[in-house]
Amino acid sequence: MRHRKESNIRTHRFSRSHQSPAAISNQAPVIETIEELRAALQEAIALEHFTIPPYLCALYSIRKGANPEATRIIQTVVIEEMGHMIMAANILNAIGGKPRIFARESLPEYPREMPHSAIGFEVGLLKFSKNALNTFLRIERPAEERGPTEPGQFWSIGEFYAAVSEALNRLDSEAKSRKQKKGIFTGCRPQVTNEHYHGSRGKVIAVYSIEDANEAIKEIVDQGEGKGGSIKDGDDDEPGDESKIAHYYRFNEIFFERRYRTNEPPDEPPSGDPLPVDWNAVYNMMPNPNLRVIRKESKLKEPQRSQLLGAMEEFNRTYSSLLRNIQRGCNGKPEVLREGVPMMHSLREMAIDLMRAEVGIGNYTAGPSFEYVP
Amino acid sequence: MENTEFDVVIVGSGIAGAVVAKTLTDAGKRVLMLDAGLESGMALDGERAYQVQRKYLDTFYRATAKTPNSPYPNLKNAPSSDVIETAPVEKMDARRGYYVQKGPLAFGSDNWIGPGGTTQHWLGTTLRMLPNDFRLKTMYGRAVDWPITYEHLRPYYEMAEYEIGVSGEVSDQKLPNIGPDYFSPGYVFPMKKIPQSYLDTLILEKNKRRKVNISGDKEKEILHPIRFCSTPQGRNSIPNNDYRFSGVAWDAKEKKLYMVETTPGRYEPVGALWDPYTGQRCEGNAACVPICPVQAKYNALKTIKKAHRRSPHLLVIKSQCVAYELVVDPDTKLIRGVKYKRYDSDDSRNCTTEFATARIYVLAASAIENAKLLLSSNAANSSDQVGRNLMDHMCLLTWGLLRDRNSKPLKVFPFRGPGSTTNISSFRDGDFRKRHAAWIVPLDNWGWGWPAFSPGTDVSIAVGEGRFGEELRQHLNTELTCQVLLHFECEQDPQPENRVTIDERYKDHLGNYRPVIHYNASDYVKEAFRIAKFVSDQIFKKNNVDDRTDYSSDEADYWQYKGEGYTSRGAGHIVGTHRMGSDPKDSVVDPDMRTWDHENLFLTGCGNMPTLGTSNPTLTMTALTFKAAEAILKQLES
Amino acid sequence: MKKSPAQTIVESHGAQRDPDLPTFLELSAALTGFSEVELEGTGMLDEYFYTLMKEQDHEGVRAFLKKAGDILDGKRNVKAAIKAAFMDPPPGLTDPNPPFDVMPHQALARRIILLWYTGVWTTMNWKETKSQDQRTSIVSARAYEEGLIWMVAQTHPAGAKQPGYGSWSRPPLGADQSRDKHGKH
Repeated sequence: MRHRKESNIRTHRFSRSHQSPAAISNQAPVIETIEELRAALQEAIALEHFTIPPYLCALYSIRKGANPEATRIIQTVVIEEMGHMIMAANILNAIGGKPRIFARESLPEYPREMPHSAIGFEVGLLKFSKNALNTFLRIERPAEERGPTEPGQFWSIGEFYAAVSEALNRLDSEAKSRKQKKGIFTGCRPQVTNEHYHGSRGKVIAVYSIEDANEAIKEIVDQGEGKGGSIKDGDDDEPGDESKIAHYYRFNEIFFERRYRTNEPPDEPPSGDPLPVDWNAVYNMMPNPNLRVIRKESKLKEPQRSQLLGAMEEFNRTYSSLLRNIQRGCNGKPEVLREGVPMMHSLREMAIDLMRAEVGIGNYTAGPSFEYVP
Repeated sequence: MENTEFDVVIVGSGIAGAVVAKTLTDAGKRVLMLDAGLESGMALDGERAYQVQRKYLDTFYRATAKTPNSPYPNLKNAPSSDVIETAPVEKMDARRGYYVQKGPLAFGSDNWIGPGGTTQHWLGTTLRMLPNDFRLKTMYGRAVDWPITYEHLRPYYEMAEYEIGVSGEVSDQKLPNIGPDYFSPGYVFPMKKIPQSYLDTLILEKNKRRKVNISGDKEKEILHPIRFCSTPQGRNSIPNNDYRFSGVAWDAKEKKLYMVETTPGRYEPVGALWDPYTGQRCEGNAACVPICPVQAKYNALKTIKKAHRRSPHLLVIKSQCVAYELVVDPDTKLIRGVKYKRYDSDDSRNCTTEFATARIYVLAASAIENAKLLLSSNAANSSDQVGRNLMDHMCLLTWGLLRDRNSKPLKVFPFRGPGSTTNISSFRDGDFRKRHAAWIVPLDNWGWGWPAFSPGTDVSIAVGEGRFGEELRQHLNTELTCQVLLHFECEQDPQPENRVTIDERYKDHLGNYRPVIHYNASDYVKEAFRIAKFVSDQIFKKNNVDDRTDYSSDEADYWQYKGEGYTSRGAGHIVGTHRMGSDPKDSVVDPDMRTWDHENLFLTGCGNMPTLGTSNPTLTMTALTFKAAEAILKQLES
Repeated sequence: MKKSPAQTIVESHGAQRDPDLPTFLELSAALTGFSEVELEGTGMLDEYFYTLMKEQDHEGVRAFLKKAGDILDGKRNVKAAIKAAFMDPPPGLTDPNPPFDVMPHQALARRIILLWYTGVWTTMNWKETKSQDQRTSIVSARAYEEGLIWMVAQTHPAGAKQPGYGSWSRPPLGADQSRDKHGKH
C-alpha cells in the first residue's frame, strides 16, 4: 500500500542539532520561533528557486517548433514554480520577513544535491532528455510513507511545506492567544498579486492572514504533487478544458510519452493517448555548463572563445538583474515586477542562442550557467 | 426541401455573425451558421485549434509580403481580396485577383473570408464614434444623419466592449464635443489600458500643449490644439477590478438585452482558443495585423466558442458553404431560403447545391459580400442603394526620422508593441467638418512598415548602397530605431457612385459573382488630405523630424489636388454598402437593421453604417449587431 | 511544423562538416558585422550554407568561397579587400543590385547579407523559376524568426520571440541612444 499525501508531520522530525548555516543546507531549521519560521520560508524560496534553472535548461534546449506538447508542459510548470517562489516570498513578507531572491547562495553551482531531500539525489543543468525528466520526477514526487528521516530532511517538497504550514498555524494561534490581533501577520508592505505576476493557470495569492497563507501553501503543494491522492492539481477546471494535472504527473506524461486518462489512478503510469516525444530534437547542450569549466576545457579559438564567454556572462548579468528586480518586487514594490518581464523573455532568447553555439568541448554546445553576478 | 429546424440562418462567421449566433443561442434560439471557409479552420478547442494557429503562423513567417491576409488561406471557391493585388486601375488585369476594379481609384482595402472573418487580422482598435458623427448633415451640412443618435447606441457599445474584451482608460478619453454622458456614470472598461508605447510618451511629452494652423494657408492662421489619448483596444490586459459586468442577456419579459451585473473584480480575460491561460495579456508580439500568436487579441471564434460551449445543441455550423442567392417569395416578399454551394475541398469545383431555411435570415458577411449577395438575389434593393456609398478611411501617411535639437538621431525604438496605442483625437470633430473631412491620427508603433515595408526594405537599400559589416549594422540601427509614422485617417463621405456592382462577365471558380468596384475620392476628402499634410509638415518641423515622406506617381492611389500629389491608402474599414436610414426610399435597412423590403431579412456588419466617423468601425458595427440581435429576438418572440 | 529540406539534411548529416563551412561563417561575419558566435547563435549556419550550395553553379560558388578564404587568410586589410572584391560595383554600373550573370561575386555577397538579415534568398537558378516572385523567397519560417535585422532594430521578429506584457512602454533592454545591444559604437 502506498499513500500519497503527508498525513501528520510531527514536529519530532525537527532536531535541534543545527549544522552549517548555508541557506540551502541539508538541514532545515528548527521551527519554533518566528525567526526560525522566517528562515524556513527563506529556505522555501531557495528551494523553489533551485528548481527553476534546471527546468529552464530542459525547456530551452528543445529545438524550436519540436515537441510542442512537452514544451507546453514544462513551460507551464516553470511559470508555476516562479509563482510558488513569489507566494513563498509573499508569506515571508506578510510575517515581517525580508525575502532574499538575489543572493549568492540562491545561485548554487549545478549539479548539486537536492536540498532537504531524504531521498538524496543530484540536480543538474541538463538538456531535455529522459535523464533530465527522471530528475524532475524526483523533485516533484509526492510523498510515500518511508519511515523517519534525518532531521530537517523530507521525502517530498509537500512534506517540507507541511512543516512550514504547521509552524505558521501554531505560531499564529499562539500570537493570537497573546491578544495580538493580527497574529504573526504583521507585515504591512504591499504584496505581489495576480496583477503584478501573471502566468499560466496558477494564481498568485496575496497573503494578509493565516487563511491566505494556508491557501497559498495548498496551491503550491497541489500544483506540484497533486491534490489529495489524485493526479489533479486542485485548480478550478474550466468546463471542456483538458484535465489539469499536477507537475509530477505532467512530467510523467512526457516520460512515458502518454497522456493520463481522466481520473486515472495516480499509482499507475499514464495509459491514455500517445504524447509523441522526439528526444533527438534537442540542442546538444553540455551538462552543467559553467564559465570556469569552459574557460579551462574549451578548445575554441579566439575570437570565438571570448565571444562565447562574453555571451554567457551577459546571460548571467541579465539573470542577476532579473533576480534583483524580483527581490525588489517581493519586498513591497510589486509594481517594479513589470520591468522584469522583458528580461525574462530576453533570457529565453539568449539561452537558446548559447545552446546553438559550439562550446569546444566534445561536440557539445554551450548553455546558460545561471551564475551570480554581484 | 424546406425544414423548420432553425429559427435563424446566419451567413458568415465574423464578429457580426458570431455576436448574433451567441446572443440568439443564449436566448434559446436554434441557429444555423453558414461559413464559406475551410472546415479545418473552424477549430474552437485544444490541439486542433493550436494546429490551425501553428499553420497560420508558419505561413505568415514564410510570406515574403506580410500583408493582412498573408497567414490565411485564400480559397479558389471562396476567394478573398488581398491588398497585394492593389495597383493603378489601368494596370490591373480584370481576369486576376478577386475585386474587379473599375476605378478611377483602386479600392485598397481587403477583408478575409473564413472562420472568424476579418477579426483574424484586425488591429483591434475599439474607439466609439462621437455624438456629432451621427448628425453630420444637421451640424455641418455634410453627408447624412443617422436615424439613431449616439445615446441610442451607448448601451450597445457597452455590450460590444464586454464581448470583445476592451482594455482602456475612460478618463483618458478627452474627445471633442462629447458632453458629460459619453460614458455611463462610473463606467470603466473591462481591462486597464494597454500600456502606451515608449514612442508615444516621447512624442506626447514634446507636443502636448502644441497648436497647429489648420487653415491650409501660411498667411492665415486658424489654430487648432493637438490632444492625445490612449487608444481603447480589443486585446487583453490587466482586468479592471471596478468592472461590474459578466455578460449580455435577453430579458424575455421586457423584450430587451441587458448587461448582467456581478460583483466587481470578477472579469477574466478570454485567452487563446487552445488554452485559456495563453493570451491572458498582450505579450507584445507586434504582429496584431495580421496575426496575434497568443490570441490575446480578440477574434470572433472566441465568441463562437462560448456560444458553442454553452448551447452545443442550438448552434449548428456548416463550413465550406458559400451562400450565393436568397430566394424571395414573389407575393409576400419574405425570404424563403438561402441557396448555398457546399464544396468538397478547395482543390476541386465539386460541390452540392443546398438550401437552408429558417424563420429569419441574417447576412453577416462583409460590406462587400453582403451587397454582392443582395444584388445577386435582386433583394432588398427597392431604394437602389444596395452596393452604393462604399466608404473607407482614406489614409494619408507621413513618415520620417526623429532627430533631437542638434539634429542627432533620437531613438524611439519602433517595431514593438501593438500597432498603435495612442491617437491624436482633436481632429475627430470640429467646425472644420463644414470644409473638409475629419480625421484621426493614430501614432504608429511599427516604423515605416506600412508605406515602405520596413525593416526589410531598409536592408536591401543599404546593401544596394554597398554597405556591409559593422558599418551596415550601425547604419541600420540608427535608421530603424528613429523611424516615425503618422497616419491621417480621413473620413470618406458617402458617394452613390462609389459602389459595388455585379457583372455576368466576372465570376469566380464556383461560378459566383466577383465584386465589381467603382471608387473615387471626393473633394471633401481631398481637401482633408491637403490640410492634413499641411498639419503634418508643421508637426514634423516642430519635432525635428527628418521628413522622408514620398508619394510616387506610379503608386496605386496617387492623385493630384490643387497642384500637390498625394497617395491615399486603404484602412481596411469597408463600410456603407447597405445603409441604415429612416426612409425606405434612400436606405436599405431600418434602425433595427431589418431590410425595408423583406420583413424576415436582417443585415449586419459595417454595410449598415450611413457614415463612417473617425473611429475604426468594428466596435460600432458590433454595437449595432447587438441592437440587431435584440430586434431579431423581439421579432421571433412576437 | 514541416522541416525544410535543408533542415532535414543538416540534421541528418550534422556531423559531416563541409570544409568550406568555416570560410562561409567567417565571411558571413565580415559581411554582416555580427560575430561568429552571434551568427552561430541564430542556429541558421548550416541551413544558409546549404541554401548557397543548392545553387546550380557549384563551381562558381566554390570559386567565390575560395576567393573569400584567400582574402580572409590574407595579411592585407580584410575589410578593404572585401569591399574591393565583393561590394564595390565597377564604375559605370548603375544597377545597385547587379544580376548574377553580370557580377556573380558582388551578387552573391549581397545575397548572403540579405539572407542573414532577413532570411530572404534570391536564387540564381533562373531556369527553374519563371518570375522574379518565385526566385525570391524566405528560405524557412525559422529564417524569418532568426533574421539579424530584428536585433539591429533592437526588437524581436514581428509575431515571434515575444518580449512580454508592457515591454514596449520602455526602451528595449540594455538600450542606449547610440548603438544596438552588441554592436560596437
